[in-house]
Amino acid sequence: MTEIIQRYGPDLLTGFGYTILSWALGTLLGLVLGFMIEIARRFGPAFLRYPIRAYVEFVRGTPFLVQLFVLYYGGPLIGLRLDALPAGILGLTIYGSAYFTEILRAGFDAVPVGQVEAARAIGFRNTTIITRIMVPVMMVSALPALVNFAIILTKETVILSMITVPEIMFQTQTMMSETFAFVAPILILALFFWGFVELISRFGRRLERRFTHYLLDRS
Amino acid sequence: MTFYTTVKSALLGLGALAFTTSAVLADDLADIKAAGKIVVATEMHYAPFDMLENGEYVGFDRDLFDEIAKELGVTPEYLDLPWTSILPGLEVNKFDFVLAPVTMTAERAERYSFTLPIADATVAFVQRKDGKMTGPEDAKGMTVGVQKGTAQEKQLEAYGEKIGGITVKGYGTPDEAYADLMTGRLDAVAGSAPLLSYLANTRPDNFAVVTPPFGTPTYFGFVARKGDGDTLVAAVNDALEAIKADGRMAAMQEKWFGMATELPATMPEL
Repeated sequence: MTEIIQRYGPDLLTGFGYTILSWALGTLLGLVLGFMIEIARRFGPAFLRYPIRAYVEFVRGTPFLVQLFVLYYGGPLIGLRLDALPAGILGLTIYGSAYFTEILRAGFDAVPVGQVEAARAIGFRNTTIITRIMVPVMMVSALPALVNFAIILTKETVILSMITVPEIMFQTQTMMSETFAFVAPILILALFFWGFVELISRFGRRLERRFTHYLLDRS
Repeated sequence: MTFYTTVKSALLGLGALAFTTSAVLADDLADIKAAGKIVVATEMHYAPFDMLENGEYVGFDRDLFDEIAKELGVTPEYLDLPWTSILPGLEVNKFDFVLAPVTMTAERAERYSFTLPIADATVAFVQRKDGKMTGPEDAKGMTVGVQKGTAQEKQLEAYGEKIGGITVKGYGTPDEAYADLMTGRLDAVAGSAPLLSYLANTRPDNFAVVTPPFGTPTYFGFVARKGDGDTLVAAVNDALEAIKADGRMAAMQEKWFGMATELPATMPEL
């Protein structure tokens, strides 16, 4: 066992690194893209609404693995030849953006209209209304769902192994086929994800406390 | 969730996993004969050995094992699994026998029971038809794809070290590596000679095999569980010899590889 850890430890650490990197970038960019899509749908011109809806429905309606294969193997046909890691991150970004945008839509819908009207009445600009009124209020209801989806995305990263991103699942499979030890590597993988998700959910709860601070009883 | 309950639920999960690995001593051949059928696993993306044509499982392995099953007097049942889960599945009795085909290596022979060789498995390169390689040494500094977790991958890595550097990329199936060769992300794909010749023969406008093969001579075999499967392997070997003796083997080799070759009648040195 110690021998195996010595032999495969560095590879597993590299794998952890790639998993965390692709998750972090995919989630962050997905959130940014999802936010931009939601802003465009809400405040942009009307002709954007149908394309956006088609995009969201397409991404939500097809398996992530299929999207990734289309991007990786189909992309070069239209001149988009990405390496495995950028393709994987872009795939996660696209996949995440469709879900994030829907979560944000629900969040924005929950912002009381009166608050926006009041802000407009005292002369707030649209951008200020979004950043100072809508986003802070929206985050209260949307944050748990956003964190939840970020957690789901951690586990989607294993699919990147299918397009040769050397992340943790990829390394684990190599380790399994070379050592013929099948249970231990999978257990290590499971423990890694469990710890990783635990960290994210703790961080999420801390964020929630921050955003709901003003709701706390101060007496 | 408190720390205590977190730890408790983790331990429960580990406990549940521990129960899944118990093994029972058995004689696979006797069980198979009693059941009248043998459950066989392979990955049906390994042309010309194993492939799907209009949803039906065909290939050299299929033809050969249909004959072997006839000799054994049982009905074969074929499963399609990804290569990376085939050997683990065999160990936990999800099926009786692996076609796949499995490259014979010393490490695997320690763990599994191999049949006699069923085909040549020496490793070579395939490139795009317009590729620049004239011999295997030209792979130096190139990016080469290979199926992940295979003996071919190990040989490719060893060869890369020998000639001074090859960037190796691992794929789930050879088909995906060929696809990436066509997109231009790869300069070549390493694989067993029979696979690559079949590929180049069926798609001559896209692919060309780089000759000669670079790997040390190796063979494909089928495998069963060590111990429990030994009697089964002996029976399959007898069937193989009968199939070779009456010319059925040569006919199948002609059909799938384009030529008949002599296979060793004893286990090769690993």
